[in-house]
Amino acid sequence: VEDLVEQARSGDREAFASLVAMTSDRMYAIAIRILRDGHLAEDALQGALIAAWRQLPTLRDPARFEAWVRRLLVHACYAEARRRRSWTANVRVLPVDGPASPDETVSIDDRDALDRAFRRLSIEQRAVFVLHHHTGLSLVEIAEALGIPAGTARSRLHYATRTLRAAIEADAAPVAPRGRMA
Amino acid sequence: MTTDRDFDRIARAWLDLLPDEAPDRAVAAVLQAVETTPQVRRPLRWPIWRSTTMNRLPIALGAAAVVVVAGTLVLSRAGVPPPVGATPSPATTSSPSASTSGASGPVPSTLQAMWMGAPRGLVAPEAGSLLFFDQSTFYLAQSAGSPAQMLKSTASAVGDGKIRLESSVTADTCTKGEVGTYAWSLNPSGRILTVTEELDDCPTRAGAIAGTWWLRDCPLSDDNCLGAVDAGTYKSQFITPRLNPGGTWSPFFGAVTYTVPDGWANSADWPESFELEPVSELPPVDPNNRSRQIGLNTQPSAMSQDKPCSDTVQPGVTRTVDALVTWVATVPGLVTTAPTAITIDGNPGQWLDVRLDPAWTKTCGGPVTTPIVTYMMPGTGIMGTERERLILLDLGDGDVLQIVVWTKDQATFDAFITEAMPIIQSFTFG
Repeated sequence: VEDLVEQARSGDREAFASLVAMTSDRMYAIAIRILRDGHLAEDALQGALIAAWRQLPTLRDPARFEAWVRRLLVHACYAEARRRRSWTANVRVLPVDGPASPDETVSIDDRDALDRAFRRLSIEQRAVFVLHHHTGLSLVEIAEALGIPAGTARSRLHYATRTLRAAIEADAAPVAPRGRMA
Repeated sequence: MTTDRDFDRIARAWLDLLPDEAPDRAVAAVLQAVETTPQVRRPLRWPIWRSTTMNRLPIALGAAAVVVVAGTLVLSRAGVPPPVGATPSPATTSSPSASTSGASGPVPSTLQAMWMGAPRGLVAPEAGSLLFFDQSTFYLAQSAGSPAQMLKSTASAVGDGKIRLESSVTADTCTKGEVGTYAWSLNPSGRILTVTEELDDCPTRAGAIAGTWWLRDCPLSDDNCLGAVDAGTYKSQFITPRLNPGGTWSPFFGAVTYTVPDGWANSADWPESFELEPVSELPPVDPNNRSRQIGLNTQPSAMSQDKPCSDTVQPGVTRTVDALVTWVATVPGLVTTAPTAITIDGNPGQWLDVRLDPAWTKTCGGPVTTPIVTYMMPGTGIMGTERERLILLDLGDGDVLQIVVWTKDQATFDAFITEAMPIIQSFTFG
């Protein structure tokens, strides 16, 4: 990979194409989980990879290529989210394209609760949550990847976890009678 | 209650429900965009930091490699005129290749290339246009900043100096199967293409193609430029003098307009930099062994002198012509002339000539032992017996443009200045 990065940052487009082939699936997987929208995720992926091509000569350590692209990607996700002003209202539940058989680990109720609660998170909280629970990065790694203090990463993860966990628990709780109908 | 372990498991399972594979169209779009997107780059004249793995293939071949991966077309252009010894471009035009005579056949090799032109209706208002021909295909693209291929058509030669285009898709207001016939001619050097509509079922295509186009023939794969040009006036396609460092770049065709005599080349064109040099400096001359050049850099900053080649901004020096010129005159290791006023395209500035103090011995470290002082960011240093004229222009609104006229050998400096200054004085800024 480092050789390809060296070649690509010297202008070798074929080498960059190889890097794209190696990383695009992982990057897309992150983007679609943060944005919860396939079209936005594609735009973010394209924006990040084109930015990576443009800025590659400024990357000093080829060994950090993937972490560097991941950072570009998360910022591209921020940009996509903010560019679509009404994105939170339009986020739709994507058709399941994962396991072929129903996943018993997450019930339909849980899935629905998580979908709805996730929409209430800020894009920054979503990014930390996805990088932790999907990509498997530690808080220190997330902080480094996003260029934020570790305390900030911890705070965002805590808030996101609390929100999503509360959503599952509320969904599982018996419905309390409402005192008054509007 | 949901335990932490339960929640983590549920959260991961929920996240795993989404797809893990990037759509092919997204990847293809990236690769197509890369084909016409310039890289920012380290300064050209910093051999210490330059990669040793520079790919010297022509840009057309580099682009073609990406095109192959993207599953589209391969560019192959035979007969591109040699970059050395540019021929003046008289008003008369030559006949196209003899291969165009007779019945329908492949696009003539002299036409198979990327051609750059002014903004057209189908591209972003400030972006240049790119015309692409291979032996059987034609499309129009934005010269930078967009991967879209427009007006896609099959292409064939249908007689001497005639080309036939047939829309291969219904798009861009053209219907699949609509046919257009055009006359085309090249100037004697083969670098300027003129296309004239004869008849086209699709008016949009006619409006986009007819006109004058410059051959995009940058000799280095990692550069974006016209390469050797005929005497005349040209426009940049990538450099954006008013782009703030780190700002979002967008296409700006003609941000710099320049006029050159015979024997010159546009050797680089990037969002933050632009270069002109005599064609004798083009490959096969190694870029690290070039001897003369005019270089433009946007938004220069004073470079910290806390250590050799520090690559960080010098605190306390604002980005104004006066402040930068005053500061350069104080940089240890530099010998400078007194600043002199200059005006280019109505923009006030100052210039001063710079050389290395013969007693200076510091280097950047590493294997290169030639004394050097780096003093402006991005990318201005002087080493050994080099000499350069530093011109700083105030473009207004806090924007500063740096122009450097550089020679590797002090003995050739005065003569090169005589050649270069009229070109610099021809600059106009969009």
